[in-house]
Amino acid sequence: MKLVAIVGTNAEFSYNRLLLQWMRRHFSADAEIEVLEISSLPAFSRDLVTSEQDDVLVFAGRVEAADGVIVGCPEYDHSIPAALKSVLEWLSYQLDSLKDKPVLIIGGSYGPLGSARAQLHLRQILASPQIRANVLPGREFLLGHVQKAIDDTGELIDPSAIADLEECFVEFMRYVRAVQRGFGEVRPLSGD
Amino acid sequence: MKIVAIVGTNANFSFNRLLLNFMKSHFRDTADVEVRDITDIPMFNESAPEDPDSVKELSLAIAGADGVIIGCPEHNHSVPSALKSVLEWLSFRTHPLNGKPVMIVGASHHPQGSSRAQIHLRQILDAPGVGARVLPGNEFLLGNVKTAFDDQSQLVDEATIQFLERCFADFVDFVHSSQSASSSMTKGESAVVPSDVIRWDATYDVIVLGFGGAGATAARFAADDGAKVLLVDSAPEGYEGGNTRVCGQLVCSADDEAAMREYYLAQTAPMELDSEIIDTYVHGLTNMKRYFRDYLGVEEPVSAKKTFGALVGSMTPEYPEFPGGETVDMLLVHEGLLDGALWKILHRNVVERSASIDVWYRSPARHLVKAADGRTIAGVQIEREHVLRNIRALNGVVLATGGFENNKRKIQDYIGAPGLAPLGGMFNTGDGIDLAIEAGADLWHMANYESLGLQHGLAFAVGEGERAQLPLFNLEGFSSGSIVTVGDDGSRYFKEDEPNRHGHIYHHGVWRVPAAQAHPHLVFDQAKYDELVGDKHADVLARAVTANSLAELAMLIGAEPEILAKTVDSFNFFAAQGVDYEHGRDPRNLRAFGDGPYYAIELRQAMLNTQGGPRRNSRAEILDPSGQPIPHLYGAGELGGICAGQYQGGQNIAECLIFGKIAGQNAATWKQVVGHRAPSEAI
Repeated sequence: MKLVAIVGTNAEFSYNRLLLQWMRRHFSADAEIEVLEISSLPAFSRDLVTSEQDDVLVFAGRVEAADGVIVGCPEYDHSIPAALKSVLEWLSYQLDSLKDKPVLIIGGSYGPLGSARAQLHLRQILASPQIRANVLPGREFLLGHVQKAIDDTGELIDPSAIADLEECFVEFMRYVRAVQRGFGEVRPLSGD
Repeated sequence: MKIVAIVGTNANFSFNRLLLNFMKSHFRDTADVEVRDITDIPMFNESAPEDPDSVKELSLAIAGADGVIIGCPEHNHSVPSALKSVLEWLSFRTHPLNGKPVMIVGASHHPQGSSRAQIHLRQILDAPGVGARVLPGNEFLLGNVKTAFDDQSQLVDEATIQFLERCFADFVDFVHSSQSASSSMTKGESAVVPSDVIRWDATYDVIVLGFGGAGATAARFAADDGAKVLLVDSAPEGYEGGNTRVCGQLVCSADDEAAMREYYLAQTAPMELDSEIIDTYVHGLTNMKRYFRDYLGVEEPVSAKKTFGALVGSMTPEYPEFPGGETVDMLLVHEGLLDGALWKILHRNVVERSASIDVWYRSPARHLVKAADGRTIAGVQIEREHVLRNIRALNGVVLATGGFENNKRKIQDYIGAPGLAPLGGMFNTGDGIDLAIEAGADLWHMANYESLGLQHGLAFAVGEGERAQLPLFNLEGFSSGSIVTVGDDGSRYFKEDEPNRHGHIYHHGVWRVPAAQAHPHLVFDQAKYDELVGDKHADVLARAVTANSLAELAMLIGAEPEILAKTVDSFNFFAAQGVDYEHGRDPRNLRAFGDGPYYAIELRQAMLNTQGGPRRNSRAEILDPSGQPIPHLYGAGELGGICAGQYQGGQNIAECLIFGKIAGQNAATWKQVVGHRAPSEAI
């Protein structure tokens, strides 16, 4: 299974980046996870032509080729970072990169809440008609106090967090396969 | 007021930018709105060593503004990344939005008008680090934006513009209240509620207090000028109407404006009134027939002078000796008196406008609410179902609560009289005077009131809080023969057969209501008793107390025995002489008392209506003691009526119609935040 993991911030240091990198290592036997950075992407503008944005097109191509997407989502001002929102706008304005794509949202924060409010906004945004991603329902991975949960070498050291994330990830792989199998034929509405 | 308006997108073309530019020009008299683009602000990056210059500049502009408007598009059900980026910058090293009043508006191509982005934006602005104060209770969601603007980038839909005006007015108040709240404002002891400490339960353009003739008229004309109106009355449904409902339904009118003016000046003398308000009123009286046709649907008003000559003859004119009196008439909506016919029309004109006028019964106004400037009337605290409701009035409040006929304390204070027997509506308790005082209004004509009834204006005694009957039958029988009316001590105090001029009797060149007595009595002998038995007054005689001697009778009625004896002695002497040396009663109406038994019937000074209340001008604006209008406060009807002296029948109800219209129309006029003078308007 081939997955991409989007670092939801353009910051130079990010625990969410460390978390995604840890997942790449930890789940390497089950999935090939490519961590995608967003800091080199331009700020979204409707007045820029998407087809002329090489970095965006390369990024979008990797997302589209993947079986599923993991988003590592920090929280800025109770919502998702502008940099992440910008990427989602690129991927949905003249592209359809996330349409039907299985998505797992994870996130960490310094406080106890683990980016809970940003994750909720992200779910709503990913569910908008312009994006139409398939976000894994019923599972949340909210990593609070990231500076204690992840050590200096980037290892996730909190055993219960590891157990939670493993459970989430297993569930996500099942979800990816289920989405790939499809939801069956869509029958047109009967006329009467 | 300085407002920074942020265009929430970096797109070259944006309907949200159009919307903010529209607001900038539309509200230019109220606020200096600076529309700022965010296209030069780079993507937020927490690793940047310092804030970009464009961020620093925006941060300073916001810090110097009184408030911020954000025009928020919707991308993927949330705020655009470009806007989010700006907010991240503004919550990172500098925090200019902290505590700043913010109004959110937004436009979208779909009917939802960026509603979901606005919800996200509210949450974001509420986050610690941002800490903005977002205007609560208001959403401006401009959907289907492609058709919302014309080719001059103006909003085309009038209702949309009006709604935006309401939202913006709320925001301006919100900015004011934020400022006064943060500058540790000290609050006075006044019962007027400052608007920065209350929450509004509802918002109207105009609130009219009092559903009588003046209030019904004000509400109707405010509604016709496009206002959303709340009309309240303290009476339960079916008992509204104030004195208008129970009055004679006669409306003073005139044919000749110059003659009417002359007559009116003579009525008012020796008092003085400003000539502008006299002109407005006299002009209204002279145009009353047209008013009936144009506004009451009465094509052919009935002339009381022509139709009911004898019955109302003593009132058309009421002061025949005054110049110009020949022009005075009274109009009726049909050929009927005292039947509520005019009131039914005024009432119907409100009911027919139920889409624009909400009516609340049993809902007395308790306090006026002042805006943050400490002067403009912003709304009313109204008690409804035992709960105080704060109702906002964007453009005006009309005080039309009627007089204080049923308020014993106010009658004592202002008229200097004991409790008087009310003839009119029982819900007139002078509430509007308290409200006007709270608002800082000047008061006028407080001591003037009208009466009607037996002799100069008396009624058979009723208990406190009971309505007196207007005795209209064969009044001459009580003013002729061996009968006198005595005051509290047992002496006569006025000429019993004086023609009735709404309680006023001739008093050394002017006509005044005589000083009211606490317990005046009719006193008469057996001969008069027998006369009264002979006709329809038998039921009145049941009220009589009797005694064999005047001394005993005096004891029964609380009078001084010596004084009552002297009164009857003198009266008998006058009868013998054929001259009433004391009060000038017609000699034909004098007849000496016989020997006992004697009778007495207790009377009360009747109270028809008071005239006092807040001073107003020709625009129906209520004035403060320095003569300046209190912004957004208007008055109409007998609460602060313009009748300063001698009263001509039908003039109070005419005032309800004339000034009700002016008050309603001026209150409906759209105001900037602090009210300006409304145009003078006459019918």
